[in-house]
Amino acid sequence: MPSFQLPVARVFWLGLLGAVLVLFPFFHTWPLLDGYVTQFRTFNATMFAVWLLVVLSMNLLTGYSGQISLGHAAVVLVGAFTTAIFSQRFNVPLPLAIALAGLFTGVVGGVVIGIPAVRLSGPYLAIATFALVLSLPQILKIGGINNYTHGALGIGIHDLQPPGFADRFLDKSEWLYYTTMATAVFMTAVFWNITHSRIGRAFVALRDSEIGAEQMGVNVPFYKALAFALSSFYAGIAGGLFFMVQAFVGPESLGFFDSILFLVAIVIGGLASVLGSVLGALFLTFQVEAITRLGDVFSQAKNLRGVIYGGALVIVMLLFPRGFAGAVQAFQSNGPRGVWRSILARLSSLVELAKSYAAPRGPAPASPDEARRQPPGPGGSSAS
Amino acid sequence: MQEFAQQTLSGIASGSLFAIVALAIVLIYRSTSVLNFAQGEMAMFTTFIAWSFMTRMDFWPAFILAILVAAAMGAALERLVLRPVENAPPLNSVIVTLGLFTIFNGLALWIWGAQPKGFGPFSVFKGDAICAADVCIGRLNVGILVVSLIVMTVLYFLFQRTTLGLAMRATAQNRLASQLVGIPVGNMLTLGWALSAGVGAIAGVMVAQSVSLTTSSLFAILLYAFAAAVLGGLNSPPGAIIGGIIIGVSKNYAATYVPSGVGNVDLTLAFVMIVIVLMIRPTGLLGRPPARRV
Repeated sequence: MPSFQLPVARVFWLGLLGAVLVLFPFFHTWPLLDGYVTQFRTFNATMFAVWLLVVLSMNLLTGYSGQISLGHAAVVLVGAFTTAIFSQRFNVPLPLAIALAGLFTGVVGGVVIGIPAVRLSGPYLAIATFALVLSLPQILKIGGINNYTHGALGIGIHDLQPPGFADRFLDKSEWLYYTTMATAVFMTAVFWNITHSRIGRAFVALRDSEIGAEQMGVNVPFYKALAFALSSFYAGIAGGLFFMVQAFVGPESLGFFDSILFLVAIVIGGLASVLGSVLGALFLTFQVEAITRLGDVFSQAKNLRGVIYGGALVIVMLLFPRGFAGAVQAFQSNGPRGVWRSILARLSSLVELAKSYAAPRGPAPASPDEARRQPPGPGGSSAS
Repeated sequence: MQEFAQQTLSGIASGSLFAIVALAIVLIYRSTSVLNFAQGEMAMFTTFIAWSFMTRMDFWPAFILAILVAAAMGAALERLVLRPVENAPPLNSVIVTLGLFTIFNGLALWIWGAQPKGFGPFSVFKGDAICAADVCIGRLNVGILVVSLIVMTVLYFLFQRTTLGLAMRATAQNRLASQLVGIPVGNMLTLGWALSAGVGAIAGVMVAQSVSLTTSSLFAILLYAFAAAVLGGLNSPPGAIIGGIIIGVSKNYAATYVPSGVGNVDLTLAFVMIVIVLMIRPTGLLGRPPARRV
């Protein structure tokens, strides 16, 4: 029997992370951290948990499975509305309503989007999901449907209180933090396991080459639909938590710009990486504050928000296709020099590309075969 | 009946706007197989450039200058930004064009502000509506249709009747094979972007005369233009125009004949159209399925 070795370092770091997460809402009461961590940070951390689920969901679809969705905000919005309708109109308990919302979006995403998507390749899917996210606010206001969604008014939450047993030591925001963060941590662990299982490898195979995956015996239509279903399930749960934390949802709560932000988050965080999703969720949590802070120094920052995000998207895509998570991995394996080396390697390959195009008679720079041999997803084969 | 005819004609008129933007989308997809989500914002940006030219000179020189600036911009973008992702999977290029989308939107907001700018209609397109038996269509809309048809015809001859067009089509279909027969593939892709940015500028200037010029004036049209391009077939220029007109007409019918209790359905209609086309005939009405190399 192989002897079991306790991975001491990993247990230590995970334990530390767990302790920080458990104690986080009380940091602001400690004299040492006073001034650095305010009570508002509890809300930040709660939203971080929600965004983490959104980013994981989007990363599953785009990073791991290579399907482009511009309509992710719409799926989250549907999850939020489903939760709102179940809990506020039909008086279903909130946790059950959130679970139902996840199931609902999961089934809808798998069947209504996933099965047609089996036949659609990249650009068509992007157009269809783009149309979905633009038209959803209108659909939610259409007569008949608006009996349930309350049209433009949206749905608010009534009297959310921590349940009796927790009432004594937790206030509302702390209760929200613990429930949301616990859900996010649990679902992240599940996500890690899915992506490191047979299913996750099938997704990556699908992304890298559909034909190749088929040859290896991957049931392409099934796994494509499964990717949509799983991703929509995560998005639906995230939507339910979003409704719970914000205590309100309206047709314009999330829109096309949010979809773009989600895309920015997974790209600069790192495609096909759990670590990248965490970094992306940090970005989503603090982007508004960061732009505001930048506005104090540089007054035009607020107007240039689109330029900054778009620029980040383009630069990261061109120079660091594996995002920040890629830089962290390079740092882990080779230290700061590893980071530099990977950036320099990318730069010089870009220069090579430019040179080879400049000389039309030169050797064929990037034949389709070569392109296929490159790691096709920007995340490459580094499914971590 | 008279109302029906009028709605049809106004639908064709608004469809002309969708058609010309769809034409620019189709053109770039056809020549580089990149779906450019920034098309609308690039057109909006160059229309603002045209607007600044027009404060200094007449309509026609400013119009032509704006088209040239747009073409140069398109070529530069292809060289600098799109080239590194052209051989990567479509995900990467879509992400880059979405980045360009927010960059152009933010830049325009920063430079020209959120206030709408007065823009035309210019003397050629001014005047009374053209009427026949109580059914009228604006002169500007006729102008837009005529311009779209001219652009389409020029493109048709370029793509089908010249060696250059042949080389561009070959590049879009099979880059490696085109390179082997001596086509300067890089230049063809640059040219494709320059052309479609130029057509985008034409589209922007025409559209902005009909709706006022703001940073969001083309975004409002982009969805319908995409619907038109998908309906007509993403690689078919005539399809883009036919698709645009069908979308415009059905949007007008929906606005007139859908009972008022239901509310607005125009965006929903575009979404439903896209989904139906993609489920029944993903290549669109006139598009041809792409040959797939195994």
